[in-house]
Amino acid sequence: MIFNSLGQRLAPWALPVALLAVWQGAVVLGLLSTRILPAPSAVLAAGWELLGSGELWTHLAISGWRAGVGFAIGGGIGLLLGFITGLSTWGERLLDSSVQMIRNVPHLALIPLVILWFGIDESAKVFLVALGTLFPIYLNTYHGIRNVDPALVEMARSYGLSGFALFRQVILPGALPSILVGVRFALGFMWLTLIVAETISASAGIGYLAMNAREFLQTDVVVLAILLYAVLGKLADVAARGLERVWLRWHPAYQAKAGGQ
Amino acid sequence: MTALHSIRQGIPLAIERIERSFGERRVLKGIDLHIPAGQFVAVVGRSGCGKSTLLRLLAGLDQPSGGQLLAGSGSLNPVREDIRLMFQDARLLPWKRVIDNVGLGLSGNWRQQAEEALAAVGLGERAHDWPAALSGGQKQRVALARALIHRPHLLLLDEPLGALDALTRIEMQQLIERLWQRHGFTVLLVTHDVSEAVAVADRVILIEDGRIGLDLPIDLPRPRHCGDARLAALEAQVLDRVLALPASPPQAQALSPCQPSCAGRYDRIAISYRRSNDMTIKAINVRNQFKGTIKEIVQGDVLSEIDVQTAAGIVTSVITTRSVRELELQVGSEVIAFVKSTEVSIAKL
Repeated sequence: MIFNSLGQRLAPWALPVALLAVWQGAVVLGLLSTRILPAPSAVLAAGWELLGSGELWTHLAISGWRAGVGFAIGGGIGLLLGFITGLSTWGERLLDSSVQMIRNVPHLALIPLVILWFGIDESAKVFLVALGTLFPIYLNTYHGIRNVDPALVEMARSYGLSGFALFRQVILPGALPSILVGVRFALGFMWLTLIVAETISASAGIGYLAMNAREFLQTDVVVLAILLYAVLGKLADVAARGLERVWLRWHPAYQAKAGGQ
Repeated sequence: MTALHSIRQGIPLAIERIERSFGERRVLKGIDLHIPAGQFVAVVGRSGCGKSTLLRLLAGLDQPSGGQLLAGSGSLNPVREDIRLMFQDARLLPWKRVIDNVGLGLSGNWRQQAEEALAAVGLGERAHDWPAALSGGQKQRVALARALIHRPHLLLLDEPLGALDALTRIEMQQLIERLWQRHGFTVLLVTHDVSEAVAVADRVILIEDGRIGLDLPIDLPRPRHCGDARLAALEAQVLDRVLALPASPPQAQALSPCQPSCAGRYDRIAISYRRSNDMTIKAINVRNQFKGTIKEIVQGDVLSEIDVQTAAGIVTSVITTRSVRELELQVGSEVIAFVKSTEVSIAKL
């Protein structure tokens, strides 16, 4: 029994560990030049060194700050716009087609313009992240509210709920599964946007760390930066899943998932 | 029982020349109906006859095109808070636990009341479950508790038992009847099931073509039980009236094929029932009857299955166990099994 469940837990890690072993072996045997790909041990050592000097924390903190602030601004605006268009027909008429038009512009195409507007300091990066996270959350909030079961709204009205109470007790919880899907999409866009923004123009952050290392041919640091993005992306996804498990615990689909893990 | 204690307080209803049109289509064509306080009225009719529309008007979910709805002699609006509607589907909020669903729209200290209301419908134990964990019948009982906690003076029921299985239906009918007797509110039950209407109501209203076609008092003592001959006669009276008019559009359900359960069982005429009293065993001279002798009785707690050997083969009937005892049925008894022509499906062999 114990071995069985342990095996099930370890199974997903078997392939990554095997790949790392092959990678390490290939470098040690000289099959792979360290100029192309450094050994995993070298990446680990680089990480340890940067951690020791405190440099890594500085870069992580600044990247995390940009991502967080951008996500909060973009997500907040997306949520608000989604509420407005989802709840009022006039809001939809006035805003929806404009938002859809802006949405179809790839936000990374705006980088030259953004640099002209904001220069190359923090506000440019935060602006790009906000723009990247706004639309997934807007779309899913709008869609979620429009798909709240009208039979439930009718029932709640016949039980005397209206205005904010109706919104808080019926419409918002009904739209929440869809909004959280939007949050997960937005978190993906958040890191993607940040990577691009930081590699173009920055004096700190993980993207800067990677670009700087490229200048000095430090492949180990470049690989470390890429791995850090992967870890941060995974952490954001875990956080979003955590929200789903707390807020959607009434939902049979999420109960089944929680039971299965 | 402090929250749900007995105060006999129903709303007397006066429905005067009520009309409702949807575009060109006139659904209600001037309905006049007076309902005394505390009466249990069942409204029956073909689907699309306007019975649910009438209920939605009374619930304030829709506005009439003409005529007026009165509570006694005054307007219905001031007593809107005392009217509660129970829908065909339970419509529980899936993100609120059972007890929070019952307390929907209440403020202040309602938890005690909600627990009592849940106990009254027999679900006191499930207060902290999610609605998704309940069966269909349990969800409807929660919806009933949610309606009752407001101590309604008028309870509107829109086919609340339509989606439930036979046994659960009978339980729910008895529960609603009991709670009505205790609290004395006025009840308007819309149903497509004539036998249900006759079994629980004081009065059956038939709506046909947007007008009242039949207003039949049911002066039978309670508790009533399914096998009663007088109930069957009243039911036949309503059904004859419903079927006398040609169905305008032909109803798909009348053409539905034989249930899978009877395919391949040509040696038995298997008849499916929605309710136990859709088929009963008694010597009443009607069409669609099979004379025979009882071959086997399988007794259950509530319902019993009776196999009758007839010239056409074995006919299986499900009736209440109480009826088996009261009719003194046993293996070998000579009986006549009769079925409603509307309940017989035909399949080509």
